[in-house]
Amino acid sequence: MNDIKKTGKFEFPKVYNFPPFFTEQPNSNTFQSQLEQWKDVIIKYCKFNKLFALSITGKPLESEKDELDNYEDNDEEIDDDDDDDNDNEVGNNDFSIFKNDNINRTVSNQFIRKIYEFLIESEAGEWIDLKNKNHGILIYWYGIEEWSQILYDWIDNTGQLNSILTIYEIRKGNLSINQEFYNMNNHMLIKILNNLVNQGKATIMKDENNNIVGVKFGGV
Amino acid sequence: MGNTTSSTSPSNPKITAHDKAVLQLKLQRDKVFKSKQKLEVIINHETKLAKKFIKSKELEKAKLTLRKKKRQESLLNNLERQINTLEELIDTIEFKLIEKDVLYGLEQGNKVLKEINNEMSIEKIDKIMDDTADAIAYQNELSERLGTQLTNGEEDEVDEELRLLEIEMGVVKSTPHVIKEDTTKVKQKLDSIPVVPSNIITNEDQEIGGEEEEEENDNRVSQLA
Repeated sequence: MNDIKKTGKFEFPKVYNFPPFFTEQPNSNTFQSQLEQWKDVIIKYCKFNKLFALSITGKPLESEKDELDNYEDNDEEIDDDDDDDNDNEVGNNDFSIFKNDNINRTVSNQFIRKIYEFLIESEAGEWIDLKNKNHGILIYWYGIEEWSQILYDWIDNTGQLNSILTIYEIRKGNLSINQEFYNMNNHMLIKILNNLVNQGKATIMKDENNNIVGVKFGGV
Repeated sequence: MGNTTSSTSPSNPKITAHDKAVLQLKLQRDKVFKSKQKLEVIINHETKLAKKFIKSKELEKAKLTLRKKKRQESLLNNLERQINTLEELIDTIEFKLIEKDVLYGLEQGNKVLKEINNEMSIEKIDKIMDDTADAIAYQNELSERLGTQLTNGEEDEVDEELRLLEIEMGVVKSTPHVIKEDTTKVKQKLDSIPVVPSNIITNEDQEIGGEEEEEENDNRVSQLA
C-alpha cells in the first residue's frame, strides 16, 4: 500500500523488471554497465521522491522521522494495545529500491554494498558515517558544489545574507518549503554548509554540545 | 551557548553577540515548533484510538482518550502562541539590527561629509583663488614679455609669410609691383637663410636652384593675376 503511495508516480526503467538486474553479473563489462544503470535508477528514484538518504537495505531514510517514532513509542507505553498497524501508517515506508516484488527479486546485501561503493566512487553518494556504514548512504542527485550553489543562491535571492538561520529552519522552514533542499537530510546539509564555510561564504554556529545548529551566510 | 565561531577563511562572516542571541531564540522556536508537530501526530493518533474504542464499545476508554486529546489540543494552542511570540521577538530584533545598521551608515556618511567640509574651509578656498589669480597674472606677464621679445626680429617675417600665403591662396589680390618687391625679398632671404617661410611654397625647386624658383614664383603670380 505504502509503496504504491510513495513510488507510484515514479516509473522505473524497464531494466528494473529484468530479473538479472538484481544479481551481480559475472562478466566485468556487464557488471560495470549494471552498476551504471543502478546508479541511474537510484538517483532518479531519489530525486523524484525527494529522498536524500537510503538505508543499508535501500529504504528511504528520513532523519526527522526517528524522533517522531521515538516519541510515539513512549506514548504507546501508556495506552499500550495493538496499534502496531497504526504505527506503520504514520510514516514507515518499507519499500526498498533493491526489492522488486513484481518479479520477486532482491539485491543481496553484498551487491548493495558494491552499488553504494560505486555511487560513492562516482561522487553521487557518501556514507553518512564512514565508521559505521550501516547508518546508510547520502544520495547526491546534485553534487555538493551544485547544492552549495543552489543553497547560497536561495539565501541571496531571499535576502537572508548576514542573518542567522538554524539548520532546522533551512530544512523545514516556511521559506524553504518549495525549495529542492526542503526536508534535506541533516548530514547532507552539514556537508554542504561545511563546503560553503570553506569557500568563505558561511560561518557555522554550534550549540553547547558542539552540534552544528546554526549558520550565517555572508557575501564574498 | 558554547563557542560558536569556526573560521577557516578570513572572509567568513563574523558572528556577533546579537547573532548568538538570535540563534538562541530561533533554536527555541524550532524546539517549540517540533513539539507542536509531535503533538499534532499524537492528537491524530488519539483520534484514531478513540474511534477504535468506540468500535469495540469501550466507551469509557474512548472518553478518556478524547479528554486527553482535548488537553493536548489546548497545549497545542499554547505552543502556537509561544511560537508566535518568539517569532515576533526575532523579527523585532532583526529589525532593530537593521535600524542600527542604518544609523551606523548615517553616522559614517555624516562623518565623511564633515571631513570633506573641513577640507574645503572658506579661507582655504580664498587662498587658493588668490594663488590662482597670482599665477594667472604671472603667466600673462610672462607671455607679454615673451611676446615682445619675439616681435622685434621675426614679426616682419611672420607678416610676410602671412601675406605670401594669402596671395597664394588668392585671398588677397595685390598689384604686380608689390608682388615683385615681395619675391625679391624672398629671394634675398632664401640666399641668406635656408629655412624661410617660402620654403613651404617651393619645396622641390629649392633643390634645383634659387633662380628657377624666382621664375616659378613669377609664373605663378602672373597666373594668379
